[in-house]
Amino acid sequence: MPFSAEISRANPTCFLFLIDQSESMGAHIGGGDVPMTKAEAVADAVNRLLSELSIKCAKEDGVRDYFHVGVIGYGAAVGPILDGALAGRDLVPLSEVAARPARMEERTRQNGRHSAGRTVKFPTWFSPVAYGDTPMCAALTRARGLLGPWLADHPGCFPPVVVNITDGVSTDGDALPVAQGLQALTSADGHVLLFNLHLSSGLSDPVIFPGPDTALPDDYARQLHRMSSPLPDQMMAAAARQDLVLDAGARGFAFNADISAIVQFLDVGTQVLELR
Amino acid sequence: MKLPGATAYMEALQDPATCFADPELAGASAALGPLGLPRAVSGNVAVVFRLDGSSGRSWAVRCFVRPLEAERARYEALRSHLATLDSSWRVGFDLQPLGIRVDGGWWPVVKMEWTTAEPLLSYVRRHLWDGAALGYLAARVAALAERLRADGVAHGDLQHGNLLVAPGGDLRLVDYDGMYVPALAGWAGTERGHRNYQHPGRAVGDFGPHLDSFSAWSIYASIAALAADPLLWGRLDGGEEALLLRHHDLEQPGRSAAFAAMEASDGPGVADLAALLRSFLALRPDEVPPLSHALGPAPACPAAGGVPTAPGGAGSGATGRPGPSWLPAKPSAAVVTPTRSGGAVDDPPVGAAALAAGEAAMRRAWSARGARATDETPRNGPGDTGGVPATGEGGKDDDAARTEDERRRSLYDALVAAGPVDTGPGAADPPLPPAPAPAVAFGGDLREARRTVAGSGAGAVVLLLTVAVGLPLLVALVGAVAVAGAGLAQVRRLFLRTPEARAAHQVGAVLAAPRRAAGDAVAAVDRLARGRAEVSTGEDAAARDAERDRARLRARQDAELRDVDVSLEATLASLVARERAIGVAEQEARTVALAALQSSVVDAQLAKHSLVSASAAGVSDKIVHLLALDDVRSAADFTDVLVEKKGGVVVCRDGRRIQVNGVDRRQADAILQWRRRVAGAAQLKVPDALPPKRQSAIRAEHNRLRSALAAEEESARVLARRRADGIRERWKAEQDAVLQRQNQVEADAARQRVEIDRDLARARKDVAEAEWHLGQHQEEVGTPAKLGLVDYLRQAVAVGPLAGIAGRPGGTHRHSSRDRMPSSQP
Ligand SMILES: Nc1ncnc2c1ncn2[C@@H]1O[C@H](COP(=O)(O)OP(=O)(O)OP(=O)(O)O)[C@@H](O)[C@H]1O
Ligand SMILES: [Mg+2]
Repeated sequence: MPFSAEISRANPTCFLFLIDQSESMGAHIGGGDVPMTKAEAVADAVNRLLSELSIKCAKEDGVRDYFHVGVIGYGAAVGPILDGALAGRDLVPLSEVAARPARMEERTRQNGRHSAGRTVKFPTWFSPVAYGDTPMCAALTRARGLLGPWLADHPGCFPPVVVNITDGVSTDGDALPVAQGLQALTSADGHVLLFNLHLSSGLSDPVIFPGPDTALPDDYARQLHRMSSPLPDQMMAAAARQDLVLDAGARGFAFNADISAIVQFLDVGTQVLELR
Repeated sequence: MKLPGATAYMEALQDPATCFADPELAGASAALGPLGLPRAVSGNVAVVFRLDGSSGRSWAVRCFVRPLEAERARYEALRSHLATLDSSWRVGFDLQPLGIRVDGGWWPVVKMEWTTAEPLLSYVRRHLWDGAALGYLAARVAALAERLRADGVAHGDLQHGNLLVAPGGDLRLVDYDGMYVPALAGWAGTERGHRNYQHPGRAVGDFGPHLDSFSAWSIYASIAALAADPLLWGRLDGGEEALLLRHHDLEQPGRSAAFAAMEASDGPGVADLAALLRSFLALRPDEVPPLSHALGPAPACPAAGGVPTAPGGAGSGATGRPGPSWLPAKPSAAVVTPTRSGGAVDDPPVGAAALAAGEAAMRRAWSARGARATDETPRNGPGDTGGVPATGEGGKDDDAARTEDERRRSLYDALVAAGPVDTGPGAADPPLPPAPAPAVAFGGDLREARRTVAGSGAGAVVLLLTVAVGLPLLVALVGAVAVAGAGLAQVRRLFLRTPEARAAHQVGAVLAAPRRAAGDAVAAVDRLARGRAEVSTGEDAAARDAERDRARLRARQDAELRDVDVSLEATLASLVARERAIGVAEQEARTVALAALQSSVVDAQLAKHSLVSASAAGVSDKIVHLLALDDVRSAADFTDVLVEKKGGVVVCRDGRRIQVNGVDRRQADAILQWRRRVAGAAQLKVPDALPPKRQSAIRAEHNRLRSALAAEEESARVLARRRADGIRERWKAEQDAVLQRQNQVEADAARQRVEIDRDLARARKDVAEAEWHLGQHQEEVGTPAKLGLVDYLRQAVAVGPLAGIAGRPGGTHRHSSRDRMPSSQP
C-alpha cells in the first residue's frame, strides 16, 4: 500500500515549499485579524508551520529528523530563501531548522477582547518578498532537480510533499507538464505529492480540497486542480478531525484561499506522521 | 473550536503569569530551550512543558494538540482512586479543564509533578551492552505490571514514552489519559494506545483491568530479548518509536522480519520469548494472560503460586480448569479458535505455561549470557529439530507448509520443555506426547559413537552437550571441555560419515556462498549498529565527563567565591569594631569637653573676684599687695595657701609656689575661707551640659569618622563584588569552553550517527537482499534434514531429559524471510 512507509530518523520524508514572490503577492488578503499582504500571510503561515514541525518532532533527546525541509521562492529569481545561518541551503534536516531560525521577531498577541496585547517571541526563517514575475515552471523544475537526488538517497521514504503557494498564472510557460514531471518522481512508497494553494483575490469564497468532480470557477482553477495530487489517507483523517467534510479522492488543492484557509491547508497537507 | 497548535502554546508559555489559571503555575517560569523559547517535548496528543516554581518544585504541563477524549468525570475517578494508592509508579496529576489561556480562549491542561526519571528508550540505549541492567529492568517491568494489578489499575497505553526509569531503577508512569480504575468499570475506552505496543485486536472502546496484558508482555519480552541479544537493537532499528516490535510485526507476525530475527537469535531464550508473544497474538486481547513477576512453577502444577488463568478460558464456558485455549486438542485438528477450549482436561492453564516459559526464557537469558552456543553454521538459526520429523518431505518444510495448529503445538511443546530446566526431569508430565524424537535419523554407527562418548567420559559430554544447547552450566564448562574435547572430535568424525551429514554437506556447499553473503550482510549491520552504539556511548561518556568538569568548575568557583565572602566579612567585622570605638570616643570627648567647660566657667567666676575684696574678709592689705606683685590678683590665680616653717606659701594655679611673708595660720585660713565662699558662689553658675553647638560639633567630628568608615565598607563591598564577578567571568569562560566542547562532541556524534544511519539503512537492505537470495537458493536445492552434531550426540548419549530440553520449535522460522522481497518494500 502506498503512503504507508514508517517515517523515522533513518527513513525521513521531506517537505518542499514553493512560494510565489511576484508583485501581486504584495496585495492584501482577507480572513485575518489584522490587515496583511498575501506575501506576509504566507510567510507567517509557513514560518509558523516550521515552528510547529520543530515542536512536534521535539522529543526528550532533541528534535528528531523525521523531515527535511526546503523553501524555494520564485519571483525576480528562483532559489532557496531561508535566511540567516541556513541561507543558500535547499533541503535542511529539521533539527537544523529548529536550531537556527534567521530572526526572533516580536509579535503582538491579544489575550482577550478587552485586555492589552502582549508581545511574544516568534522565530522566523525567511521574510516576505513581492517583486517580479511568476516563473512557476522554473520553480517546479527546481523542485524536481532537488527531489530526484534526494529520492535516490532515500529510496524507501514516505513520498516528499511539495506545496506550491501562488496567487497567479505562470509567466514562464505551461506549468501542467512540468508539474506532472515532478509528480512522476517516486519512492518505493509512492509518487511525490504536489499540492497547490491558490490565494484569494478577495472576490469569491475559498474552495478547499475539492473532490474529483467539484465544479470550479474557471480554466485556471481546473488546471491547478489537475496539477494537484489526491490526499493520502492520513491527510483525509486529519481533515476529518478538523470537521472538514471531503469527497473521496479529494485533492491537495485550494482556490481563492484566505488567511484561515492557508493555515488549514498547510496543517492538513503536512499530516504525514501517524504514530497510532 | 479547534485546539491551539503547539506554537500557540509555546507563545502562551512565554508568560506563565498571564496564561495559567493555576496560581502555582502562574508563579512559575517555563524551562527554556537554546533559543530562549519554552522547551517542549511532544507526544502524540500533547505538548509537554516544564515549569519551575520559585520553591524549587517543578511541574510538567501537558497541553493538548489532539482533543482530550477522557472527560472530566473520568479524570476525577482516576484522581480519587490514585489518591488511595501508595505506589511508586504514580506521579501526581491534576486535570484543569480551563487551565491555560491561548489567544483569548481557555483550554484544558494536565498539571503533573515533574519526574526526573529517564525515558525508557534512552535508558535501554544507554544500557544496551549491560545485560544485567536490562535483565533487572525486565524484572522491574514484571513487578510494575503486578503492582498495577494489585492497585486495580490498567494504564491503557504502556509504551516507551510513558515509562520512565527513576535513578534506583523504579519505573514511573506518566500520561493517564487512557487509564482504567475500578470506579470506571463499565465505561468504554477512549484510545487504543501506541500501535507499536498494543495487541492489534484491541479496539478503541476496549476497557478493563486487562488493558495492559499484551503491552506489558511485549515490553518485558523486548527488554529480556535485548538483555540476551543486544544486537537485535541495531538489527531491528530499536529506539525508533519502538523497542523492537512495530505495529506491522504485530499485525502480521508471519511476515515480520522482527519476529524472524528474534526467533533466529542465538540469544538464550529469545526465540522462546518471541514465540510466546506470537502465541498471544493468536488470542483475543482480553485472553492474554497478565504478565506476572511471581513467575509460576513448572506447568504441571498450575495451582501453585496463585498463577492467574487466562480470563478468556474461564469465561468461554469451559468447565473446571480451562485448557490452553490456544492449543488444538490434536496436532491434526482443524484451526481451533482461541476462545474455544481444546477440551484436554488435564492441560495446564495457559497462564501457567506462559509464565513458566517466560521465566525459563528469562532464566536462560540470565544464566547463559555469554555462553552462546557455538553452532557450526552460525547464522543458520536454531538448527535443532525438536518438533519436526527428522527425515522429511524435504523441500518446503517450513512455515508455509505448516498449519497454524502445528505451530501452536510446537510452541506448547517448547513451553513444556522449558519447564523442567530447573525443576528437574520427571517433575513435569507433559499433557501432550512430546514431539517425535529424531530416533530414526542416524544409521548404525551410533553404537560406535556411544562407545566413544562413554569412553571420553559420558558425564563430561553431557555437560558439554548441556552447554551446547544453551543450558546454564557454564561453571562446569571449563573442566568439561578439557575432558571431552578429544572424544567430541572423534564423535564429530563419525557424524560426518553419516549419509545425512554428507547430504547436508553437499547442500551446504551450494548454499555456502549465499549463506556467507547473508552472514556478511548481517555482520555489517551488527558492526554498524555496534559503531552507532559506541558513538552514543562515547557521547554519553563525554556528556558525563563534561557534567563532572562543570561540577568541578562550579565547585572551584564556589570555593573562590567563598574566599571573597570570608574576606569581605572580616573587613566588615573590623569596620563594625572601629565604629563602636568611634562611639566610645565620642562619648569620652563629650565628657572631657563638659569637664573643661565646667572648670573654665568656675575659673571665670573666680577671676571676677579680686583679692582686694578679700580684705573685707580679714586679709591684710599688705598681703593682698604682696600677692599682686606676684601676679596673684584674684581667686582664680591660686588654689591653695599653706603655712610652712619658713612662712606662708601660696600655691598658684599654674603650679608656682610663692613665699609670702606675713601669712600666718590665721591669715591663711582667712584667705582660704574667702576663696571657698567665692568658689561656692561660682559653682552655682556651672553648666551641667555642653551647649548644643558644642555638642553638634563633637557629633559632626565623629560622624566624619563614621562616614569615612562607611566609605571604606562600600569600597570593600565593591571590591568583593568586582572580585566575585571576575571569578564568575573567569569560570564562566571555562564552563563555556566545556559546554562548547560538549556541544562539539554532540554535534560530531549526531553527524556520525546520521552517517551510520545512512549506512545502516543500506546494510539492512543488503541483509534483506542476501536473505532473499539465500531463500531462493534453498528453495532450489531443497533443505536437507536439519540434523546437526548436537542431535547426533543426543542420540548417542540418549539422555532423556536433554532430548526434551534441546527440543525447540525449531526450523519453523528460519526461512520465514523467504517470502519477503529483497528491498525495504512495505
Ligand atoms: N510528569 C512528567 N515528568 C517528566 N516528563 C514527563 C512528564 N509527563 C510527560 N513527560 C515527558 O513528555 C513526553 C510526552 O508526554 P505524554 O506521554 O504525556 O504525552 P502524549 O502526547 O500523551 O504522548 P503519547 O500519547 O505519545 O504517550 C513523555 O514521553 C515524557 O518524556
Ligand atoms: Mg499519551
